[in-house]
Amino acid sequence: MVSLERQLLDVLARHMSPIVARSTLQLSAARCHVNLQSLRPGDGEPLAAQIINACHIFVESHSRRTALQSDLCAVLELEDEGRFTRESTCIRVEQASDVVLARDAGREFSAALGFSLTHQNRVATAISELARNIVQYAGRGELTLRRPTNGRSGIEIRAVDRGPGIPHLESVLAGTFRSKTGMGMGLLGTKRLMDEFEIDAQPGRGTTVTLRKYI
Amino acid sequence: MTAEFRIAVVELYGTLLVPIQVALSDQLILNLKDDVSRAIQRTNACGLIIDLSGVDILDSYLSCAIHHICAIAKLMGLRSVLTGMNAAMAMTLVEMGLAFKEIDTARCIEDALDSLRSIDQHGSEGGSAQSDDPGMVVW
Repeated sequence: MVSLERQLLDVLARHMSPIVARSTLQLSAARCHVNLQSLRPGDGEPLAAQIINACHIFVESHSRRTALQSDLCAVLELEDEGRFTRESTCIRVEQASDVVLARDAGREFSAALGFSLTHQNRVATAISELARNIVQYAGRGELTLRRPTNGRSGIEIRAVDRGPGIPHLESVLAGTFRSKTGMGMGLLGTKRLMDEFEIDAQPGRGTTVTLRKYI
Repeated sequence: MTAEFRIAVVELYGTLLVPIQVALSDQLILNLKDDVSRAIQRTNACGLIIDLSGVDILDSYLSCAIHHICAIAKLMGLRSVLTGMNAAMAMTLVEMGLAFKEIDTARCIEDALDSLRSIDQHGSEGGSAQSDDPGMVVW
């Protein structure tokens, strides 16, 4: 019998070079703590999600992504239906490389929602800022992308972390704060790019930023 | 993963050319800062061209890092020119208030080379038409 790892590699190799396929698979397995040699029940789902997430960069067109998803689900014996719908996407942000993944996901999601190229760029840039803030100040957190619940067509981005909050929020939003690593323009710039901006960042209680951009 | 990957710094007609053809991660841009500084030290180049035509997103951190690279180059006696900024990126940066005001820009690498060369020929304060007109934003 062909090993599961081999089957997954074969599926991935249809969309990328064998070397990239192998590293994508190994990285995805490592990130969700799944041992490819001995898959336990329940491992399939997080593994599929990680692989799909990691493949955003390599698999360009929507139709090819859909094909990859259904192939993966077939190998992992998961139901394809509704698994990776475009209603919402959740991205774990824990390390610097997740910033790139997050902004790619943001661009793709906003493209699927029908945003223009310039709007896609605004959305992806805003997500990049939020993701970086999470990595830099909170260490880890989560980004959720979805359609706004108020019925207007657009995108809602929510970034949540349990980090230290933002002690000098007022000066950040007034543009008078300069950070060590950037120009202190991240949050303010994000606010300028979006149509709606809400922030809850009480010191010690973590930060939640909600952005909305309408088409 | 990306730690081993580096962006090329190419010496061309007395100019350092940095063609960025990949999505920029924080590690990549940090490596680039080192590599450019070292290349400046090692060569006699007197101009630096950073081509952004393969970049899709510049957020505040990345644009700050590019500012830093240009500032390092300036301190070491090089003029820097940015090229290849696409419309979506330019609009986003301007709206965020990160407009690269002090950095020369050009439409393409060829123009950038011409611009650096004409500055060389006409003395350091000559300045080309391009340097006064940031061609990246047109509206």
